[in-house]
Amino acid sequence: MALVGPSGAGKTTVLRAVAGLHRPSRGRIALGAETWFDAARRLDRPPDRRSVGLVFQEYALFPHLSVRANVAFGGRERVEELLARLRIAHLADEKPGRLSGGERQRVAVARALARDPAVLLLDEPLSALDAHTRAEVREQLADVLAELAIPTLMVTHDFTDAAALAQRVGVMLDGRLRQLGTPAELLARPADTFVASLTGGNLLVGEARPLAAGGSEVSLDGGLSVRSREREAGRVGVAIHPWHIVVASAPPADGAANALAGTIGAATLHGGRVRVRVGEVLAERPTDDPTPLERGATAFAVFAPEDVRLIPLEPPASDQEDPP
Amino acid sequence: MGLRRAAAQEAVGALHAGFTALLALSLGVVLAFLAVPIAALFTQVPLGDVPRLLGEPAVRDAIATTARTNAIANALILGVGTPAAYLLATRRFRGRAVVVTLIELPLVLPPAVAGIALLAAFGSGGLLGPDLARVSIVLPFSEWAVALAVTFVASPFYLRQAIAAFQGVDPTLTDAARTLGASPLRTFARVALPLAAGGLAAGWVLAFARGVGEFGATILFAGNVRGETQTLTLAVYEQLEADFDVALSIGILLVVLSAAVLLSYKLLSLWRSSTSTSPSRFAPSTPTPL
Repeated sequence: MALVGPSGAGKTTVLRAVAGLHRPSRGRIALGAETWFDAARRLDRPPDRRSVGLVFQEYALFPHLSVRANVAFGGRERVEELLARLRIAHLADEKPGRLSGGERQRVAVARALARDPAVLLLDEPLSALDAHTRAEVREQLADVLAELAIPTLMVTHDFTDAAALAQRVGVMLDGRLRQLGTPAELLARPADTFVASLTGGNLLVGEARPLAAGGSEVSLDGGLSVRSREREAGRVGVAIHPWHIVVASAPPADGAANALAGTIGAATLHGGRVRVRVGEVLAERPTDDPTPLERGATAFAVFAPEDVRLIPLEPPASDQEDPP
Repeated sequence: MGLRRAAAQEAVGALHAGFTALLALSLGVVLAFLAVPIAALFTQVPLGDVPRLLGEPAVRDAIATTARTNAIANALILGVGTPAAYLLATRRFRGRAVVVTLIELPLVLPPAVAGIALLAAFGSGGLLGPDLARVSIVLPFSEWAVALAVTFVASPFYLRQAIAAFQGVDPTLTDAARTLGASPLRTFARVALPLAAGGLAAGWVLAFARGVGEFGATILFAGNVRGETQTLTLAVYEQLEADFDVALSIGILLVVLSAAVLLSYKLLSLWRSSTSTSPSRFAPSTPTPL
């Protein structure tokens, strides 16, 4: 389970509250039948009496202790087993200062597990790493979590990390849970515009009108219009994923697909594919796509009506928060 | 044009050189003023005689008294001061700033005032003196009075440094210890104390030096009784009249001791900056805005 949201959304506070390092003003925290915190009953178990393993954002390894002593701090019984399991046995006598970011993370996970916790908490497990080790560590961490089979709650600001590491993802904004579901559900059916933009979609706004033939036509605020298979009326957010958009130099002849004309903008490499801006939307295409993209030229962003999701905007429309 | 410019540049250059010369001269004056008396100490008595002079019974008594009283004082300072500093460093409460200021007051208090204050508290006519006398505790003019005077003037040196040292321990490390099942006591002993050790040692070195050099408060509160309350500094004072060479020898001994203390403080500071308590060398993460 992962909580995703921008910084300041309250994700880390949730983790600290579960671990007992932060006292919420109200509410209740329980693990199964065991209540850890209950504001109404003035119950607050200290952190050392809650069965949690918290992996801190910067790992918080004890700099004066060796890797083995760090792991043993949580519990002595399983030290050698955990060192072997997280592939850090060869580092057992090193001090944390000499380890790479990925190695430190494995030590932090091993240390958290040494206490044999009922739940594992991960605070931004990948944010302390630089870009080129990040993907590798994400993969290793996914393997470790799959092997452990222990309930895990992690927080991250990156939906890609959450989708790679968690079965269920909750989206948080301003201390409130906006949507909870599998990564696929969040991608396919974002509950609101914030979730849509967080999951990486293009987001346009317009006025929807149901069509007699089924689906809807949306007059975008920019003056263009798109068709969707979904039926909606009134103000809507229009979400399209970049990987559903094809860049073409001319609009398709049959007119079945949507085609938004726009000026070609900046192109950036994104996970082995090229992301290019066409007018208001981002499109994605393989790096070896032969169609020339000339910055400043006019092109068409082409996408099928079934790939367009409509999200009713909470009335009144002026109250709608712009996703940061 | 070019000539005028060159002349102006020359004038500026001369000004710079003059200023640098002034700085160097000031440093020379400072060095001479501070070093000459210390050097003189070593020239006024034949160095070969120093061991013999330090072996005089009066000096041996003073060394023993100094060692005993400072051992008591330093045990008190470390034993009580360390937990007190930990509390002040890790908890926020109303009046904390007032408490810290009170602790620092003896730093700026004239030692003679400290001595008379101790008499006012523990003297026979003082605030607590009569009550203590009833349970057969008479502090003034005893070895314990020396230890208390030393504790009073030296403890702030340790406390200040210890508070700073505990504040320097990354709170996520103590949080981590707690989530790993460590009680507050174990967190203190296994994480906070070892990580603050360098700073605590540096503070202790300063307090020790101040304690050995204690004079004013001690002579008022404990008197100057040979074999009982006469420490090395008080012995210097007495030997001025009796045997100037002995006074000089004690001076040399204390200069060597002070230099050793200063050196160990510097070495400790060096060692501390090389073993930082920072949990990682990563830059703090800045989540990318969505």
